[in-house]
This record gives sequence, C-alpha cells and structure tokens, in this order.
Amino acid sequence: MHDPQFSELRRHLLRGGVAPKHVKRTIKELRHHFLDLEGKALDEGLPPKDAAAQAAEQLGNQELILEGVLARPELRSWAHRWAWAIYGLGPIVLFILAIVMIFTLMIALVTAAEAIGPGSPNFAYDLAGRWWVRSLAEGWRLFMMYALPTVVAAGVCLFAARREARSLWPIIGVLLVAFLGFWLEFDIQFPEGPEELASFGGGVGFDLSDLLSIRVIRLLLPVIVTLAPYLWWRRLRQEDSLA
Amino acid sequence: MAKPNPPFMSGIPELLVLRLLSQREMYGYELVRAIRLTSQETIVLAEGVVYPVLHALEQQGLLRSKERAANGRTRIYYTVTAKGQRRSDTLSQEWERLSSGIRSVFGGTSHA
Repeated sequence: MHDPQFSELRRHLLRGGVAPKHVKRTIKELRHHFLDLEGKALDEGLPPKDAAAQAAEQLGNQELILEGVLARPELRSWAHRWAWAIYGLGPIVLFILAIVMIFTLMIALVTAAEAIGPGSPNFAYDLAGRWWVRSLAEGWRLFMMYALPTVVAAGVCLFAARREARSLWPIIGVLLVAFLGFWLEFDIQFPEGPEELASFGGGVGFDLSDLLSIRVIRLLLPVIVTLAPYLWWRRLRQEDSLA
Repeated sequence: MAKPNPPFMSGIPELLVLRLLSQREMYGYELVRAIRLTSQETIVLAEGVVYPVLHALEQQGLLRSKERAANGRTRIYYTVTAKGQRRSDTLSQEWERLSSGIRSVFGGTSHA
C-alpha cells in the first residue's frame, strides 16, 4: 500500500545512516513527484483511487528507492560514518565547551559589574553580603552540577533521535556526560573581608566511594531525565515500525 | 594496450542524467519524462530511483541544484556543473567505445 507521507521510507533511510538533509529532500521530491504522477493520471480520467495506485506503481517500490539511496555512500551522514567519535568524544567536548562559555560569561559579567560599579575597593565584599548575590551564586553552582550534564545529555538524545541512530551510541554519550558531570565540582569563594577578591572555579575529583553516597543522584539525573525517555521512545518507534 | 572498460553498467544512470541535464535544467519529474521520451520508451525507470542518483551527483560536484516555485510547488531544478560536463563527455566517449565494440561483436556473430 502506498504511504503518501513516505514515513516508513524516511525512518529506514535515517536508520541506514543517510544524512537528515538528504532524507528530507528525498522525501520532499518523492512527494512532489507522486503528486505530479497522480495529477497526470487524474487528467487522463482515472478515478482518484486508481490514479493514486498508478502513481505509486510508476514511482516505484519504496524498497527499491531505499536500496538506491543506501547504495550511495556519499549520502551517509558524518554522524553515521564516525559514530564512535560523534557520540564518544562529541558530548565530552560539548560539555567542556559549555563550561568554558559559562565561565567566560561570568568573567565578562564580573568585569562589567566592576566597570560600572562605584569603583570602591570593597565592591566585591559589599556585593557578597547581599542575599541575592549569594542566591545567584548557589543557583549557578547547582546549575553547573545538576542541570548542565542533563542539558548536554538531552542534546545527545535529540541528536540521536533525529538520526534514528542505534541506541548504543546515545547510551555511551549520555553515560560519559553523566560520569563527567558526577565528578565535576564547582565553587565560588566570596571575599572574607574588605579589599579581598571573589573567585570561582571548577575541577574534577575522582572518588569511587561517591558512587555509594547520596551524590549518586547527580549521576542518575541525566540518565533518568534523558536516556530513559529516549529508550522508551525508541522502543515505541520499534513496535510501531513492526506493526 | 586497450583501456579496460569502466564498470559501465553501473554508470548508465549517471550518463543519462548528465547528458540530459547538460542540455537544459530540469527537476526530477521532468528528467524522468525526458529519459522516457528520448529513449523512445526503451528506458522505463522506477521513477523514484532517479533522486539518489541526482543527490549523489550533486554531492560529487557534478550537478548543482536550485529551488524554485512553480505551479504552487517548490521544485528542485538540477543543472550540470563544469566538472559534470567534463564527466558527461568522458562517459559519452566511453559509451561510444563500448557500444561500437558490442556492435562489432554482434556483427561478427551474425556473419559467423
């Protein structure tokens, strides 16, 4: 039976590693081609059902089209060709880049605050005494430790979902991010007295005993929030495809 | 020594596509019509298989595509690049050489 949206073909192309841009374009062109064939058949006086059937036959079996696309290695995505690098190194690089960007932004904010501030040497100390500055700092620390790994893990899952990638790859990517996030620590030191400066920083601390502490929630959070729904969605897609 | 034949059968779709698109730009449906018409219905394709050929040729830099609206739909028109033109010429020469060889074989057989 003809599938006017070519959704099954689309799914198989993505699973075969064809780049999403080629998949999108192939489906668009096939749809338009089908409409042209159908329109021609209707102009020739065929009833709509027969016109659609004739158009589908002329366009060709979807398995044949799938075979034709998969036979072209140049249409495969780089994420398919170098999956180990994309899912193994990509999330870590992305995570580190996000941290660098956030740190850069913070330095820029502090520099701007100092520039537009009253110019007092006690400026940092005065600010540190304010509740909202303390809250912001704690919010930032929690974001870096809990939310950022989850955001990066979600990005990995979305990337894999768009490409219908094998489940193994996002599992690897998310676990790497989760473990890296688990062992990262961030801190802000407020000035203890006038004319002292504030500092903030981060680092990695490996301690296997953390796996048995309450901190393990940091490891589980990206897995539960992103990977579990992703795998569930994949399973539904699989069942849907077999139905 | 004679050159070995390239894997020619697999090159036929490329040859047809490059040859026809070097005459004028076309979108997929038009191209398939043109193949049927110019081959006097001897080459009838499952029409959807033309798209992987077009995309692969574009990826190799032999074709260029351009989106344009026509009859309320966005069409993707393809045209041959300079590199595609050179490839078309090479493939055409190879085809002439191969087909004249095949004609000789048939001629020889019929006279045997």
